Amino acid sequence: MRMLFNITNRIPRQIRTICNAVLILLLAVIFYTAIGAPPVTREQAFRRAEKANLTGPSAILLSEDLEHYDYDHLILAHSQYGVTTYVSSETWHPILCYTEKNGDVTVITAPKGVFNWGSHFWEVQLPVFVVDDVPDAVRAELEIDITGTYVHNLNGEQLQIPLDHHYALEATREHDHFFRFSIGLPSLGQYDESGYDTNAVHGAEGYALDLLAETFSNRDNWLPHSSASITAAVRLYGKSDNLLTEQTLTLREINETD
Amino acid sequence: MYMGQYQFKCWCSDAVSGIIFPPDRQQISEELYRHMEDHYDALIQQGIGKEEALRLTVEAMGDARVIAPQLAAIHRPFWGYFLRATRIMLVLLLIVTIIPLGIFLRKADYREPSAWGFDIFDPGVHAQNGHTLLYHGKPDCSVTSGGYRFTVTDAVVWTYRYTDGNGSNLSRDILCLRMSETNFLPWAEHTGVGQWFRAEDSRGIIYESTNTHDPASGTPCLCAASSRTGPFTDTYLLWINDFELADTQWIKIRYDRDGRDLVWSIDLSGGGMP
Repeated sequence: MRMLFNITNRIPRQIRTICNAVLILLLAVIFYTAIGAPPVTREQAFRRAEKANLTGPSAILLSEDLEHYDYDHLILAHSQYGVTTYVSSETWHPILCYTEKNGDVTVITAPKGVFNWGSHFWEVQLPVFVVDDVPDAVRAELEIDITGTYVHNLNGEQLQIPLDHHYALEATREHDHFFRFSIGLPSLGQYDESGYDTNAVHGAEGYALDLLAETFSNRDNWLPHSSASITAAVRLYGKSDNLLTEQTLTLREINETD
Repeated sequence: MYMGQYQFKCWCSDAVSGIIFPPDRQQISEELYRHMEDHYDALIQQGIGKEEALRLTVEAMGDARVIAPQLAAIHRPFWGYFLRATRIMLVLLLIVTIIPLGIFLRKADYREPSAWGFDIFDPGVHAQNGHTLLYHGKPDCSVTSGGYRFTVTDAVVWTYRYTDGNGSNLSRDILCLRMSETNFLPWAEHTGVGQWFRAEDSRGIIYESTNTHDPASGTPCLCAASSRTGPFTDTYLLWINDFELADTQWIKIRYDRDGRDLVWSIDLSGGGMP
């Protein structure tokens, strides 16, 4: 040890300092890797998720903080092939949703996680986006129809919930490339312990929006015995309120048995 | 301590008083002291008296108050402090890295249990369990996309025998593929794209992924699950239940999404079986 000390002492101080600095850098990289290489910014996390999903690189259209949701940040992005929504938070695993573009108009919602609330959230708002390649459009109308039967297993009991919901939404152009809509459920008021199953509290409408929100999710959405259809009609209008384009899209068809 | 030692130490202490960095101050002081002692010994050997040798030695070294600023100017503290700081950082970083590195390496070979509870790519295991191995090969075909390298490393077709709830003995042929994804960037995430794979065989049969497949249709589909998670490499298990090997020359796994069209072709004709 003494000999090693003598040998290192003979090396000029500058060289020893540089060697230490190199070792620090190396250790810092090992440390960063060992702790899971956490992303520094939200956008960096999104880019990584995008790569991991073999999508993108896409242009970010919207990056904003969300309030009163499990997920506190939302990103909307698009490429020439598809549209992505991505939500992240400090505590929950981020969710990326992707849907392929099919024409001038693409409908996508924020991922289901945004809609799933925690016990202390009393209001539910599901952001819905219409991403378009119609720059002249200044106003958009969106009609969403959710019909079918949602079979929900609640404490071992199978509930058959008929779905027949129609949402007519309207938005004016506030952002390039997309229109933003929001579907809201009525506020529950103060949280009640009996509201353990929040969807049960909101009834069929809660399940309907649940289905809509998970339409674009990468998760396995197998719903035994359920059958449902979610369609969207989009109409884009120009400055003189002239109809520029009208499209009807089938967002989801569920017809599943055991 | 004799008088000479005391005088030398005082001289050295005065001479190095301007050097800011303490380790340097001590080292240079010791060096000067040794030098003075050598000089003193040499004078004694020449037959000069002790007191005279002492005086001559101190005289030879010069005025300590004049030398002090010169030594201070030569020995700047910057590199000394910098070296010390890097040493402290190095030790601290080493300490804080050990625990996460241990956890990271512990996770290095985490294997998810397969749906059948054993390593289906091990021919020996099939023999032990009474299953029939119909095909066993190592296709080793790779596709690179998005910085990830996807390689189908193993392929087996085997007959799985089981007993249903009524006690009837049943069997089904299953095709299993092992696909590894590798990305050496520390921040690369596990892809999870297996759920978007679909397959097509030489007979023209399409196997949709479970993500888009309707189980009610009754046709076999391509299932995927993560089977091993490690640093830089994750592994998928892809399988098709009720796969018919007879007359099947090849099977292609395809990923066609967001402008990417990735294809892995696996030759099943006579390959692999001993």
